[in-house]
Amino acid sequence: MGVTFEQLRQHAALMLEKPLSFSKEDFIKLVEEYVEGLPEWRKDALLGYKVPGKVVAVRYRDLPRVLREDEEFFRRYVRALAEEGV
Amino acid sequence: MPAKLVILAPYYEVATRLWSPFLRGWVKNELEKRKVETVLLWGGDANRQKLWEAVKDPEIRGILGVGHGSETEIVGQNNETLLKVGDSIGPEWRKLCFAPVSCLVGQKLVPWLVEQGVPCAVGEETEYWFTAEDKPREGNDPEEDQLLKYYLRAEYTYWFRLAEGFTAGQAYQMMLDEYEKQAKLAQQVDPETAYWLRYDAKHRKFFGDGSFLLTPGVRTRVDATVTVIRDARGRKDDFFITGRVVAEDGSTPKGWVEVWVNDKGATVPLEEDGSFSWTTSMFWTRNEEKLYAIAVIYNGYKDGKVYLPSRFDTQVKVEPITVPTVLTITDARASRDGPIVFLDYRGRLYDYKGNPLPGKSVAVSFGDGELREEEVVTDGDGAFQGTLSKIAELLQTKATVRAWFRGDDVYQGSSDTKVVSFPPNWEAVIPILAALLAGALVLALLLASIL
Repeated sequence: MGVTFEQLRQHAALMLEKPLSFSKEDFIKLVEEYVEGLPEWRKDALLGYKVPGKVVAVRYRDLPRVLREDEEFFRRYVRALAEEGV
Repeated sequence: MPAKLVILAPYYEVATRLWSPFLRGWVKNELEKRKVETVLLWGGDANRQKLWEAVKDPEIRGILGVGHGSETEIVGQNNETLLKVGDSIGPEWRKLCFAPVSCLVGQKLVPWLVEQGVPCAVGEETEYWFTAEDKPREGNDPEEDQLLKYYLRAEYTYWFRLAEGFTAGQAYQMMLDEYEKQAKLAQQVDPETAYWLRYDAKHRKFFGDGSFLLTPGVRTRVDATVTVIRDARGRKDDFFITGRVVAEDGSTPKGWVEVWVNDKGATVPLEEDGSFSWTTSMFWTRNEEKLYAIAVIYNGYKDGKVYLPSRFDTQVKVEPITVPTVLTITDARASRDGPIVFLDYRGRLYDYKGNPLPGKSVAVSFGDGELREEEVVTDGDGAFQGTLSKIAELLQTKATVRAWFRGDDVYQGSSDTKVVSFPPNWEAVIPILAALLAGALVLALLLASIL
């Protein structure tokens, strides 16, 4: 059983709440597991947002790599995932 | 004065390549269906100069579309700044609603525009996240992308409702409701997409005057009833479309409606009470399931009072039906000539209402065990007749006649059976009986002589 999106969100919230309890790499490994559990068509889909900058759309297969390489994207992604009341 | 909208559709990197084709196709088309003209700034035209020129048109009442954004600016093709905090906002901007999809502009740019006198605006306070399939697209139908479709349907509810005459405040609430509706639909397919839809809606903020109207006038709606009856015998579907154009203020709209069944349509004047009716037939060659798109379009009317356009759309599926038939053998007579039995038969094929069915193939068989069979075709009165022969056993005196219509794509099959009588083969039987009788007599005499 892979990581669910809800579990990913919970870990993102935990990272923001207790930064020392969870490393960036621990979180990215969870993202890898989450992506691995997606259907093939979904792994090829894109996650995007509309800020002028270097990352505007990421293929899910590449999501762990981009999170490792792009600190700004990592920060925005974790913050958005951790949002309460959504 | 007709309303016009500027559509910003930059097309230069992956995110805008995913989104903008739907602006050029589906969104533009849906707005024009609602009688709103559009000025499309596509690709290289999504630049500052073209945008600022476009808004000088006094009929421009809104700016929608897409563009990457930050707290203080929105950009177009190749990240060229289109509009930023500190720009000189003249009267040409103070008549329109500004609501492209763009990250972060809800923090500073959009509230600042409203402070400068732009009557209403919608802006995202955070990043606008979305999921999409990575494949080529025409952009004519949101269904082309099984993820992005949820965002498109939710987001453009705002502009479609504005075009239908709702206030900006009403249209904004309807858009938020649609985001939630789409999130529920997406939940079944992709929980992550459902999350991003709710996230985007939560941060999509309205600024300015909620009573802003794209086109002032009385809002209308089209109520319609569509009845379809398949006439399989006539190879057609008969449509009866009736309804009424209703004005929100209780008055009776004037004018006419366009009524369409697929690409067949007519202009139908409204009666004094706003009602209309139209009948038409759609002919087909194969009796199979048909899907029809029905549209009733009210283009609005101006006569002292302005009635805003509205439309009714639906789809109707018509299932194939077949007509019951009745086949009757009206006459069947058999005669014998030695070992051969001849059958003369007549019959009739008609539908359940008694209408004759000409030109249909009917199979007729004669016999029990060994069968003779032939096919005949019904004449103009649905009648058929023929003769069959077969060899019968010496003492056989009865045989079964069966006639049947197998049915086709319109008519159901049917059949009839009769038993016919005929004499034994006396010519062959009598000598045998005589021989048997003679044998019995000889046997009796032999027995008598022995005893």
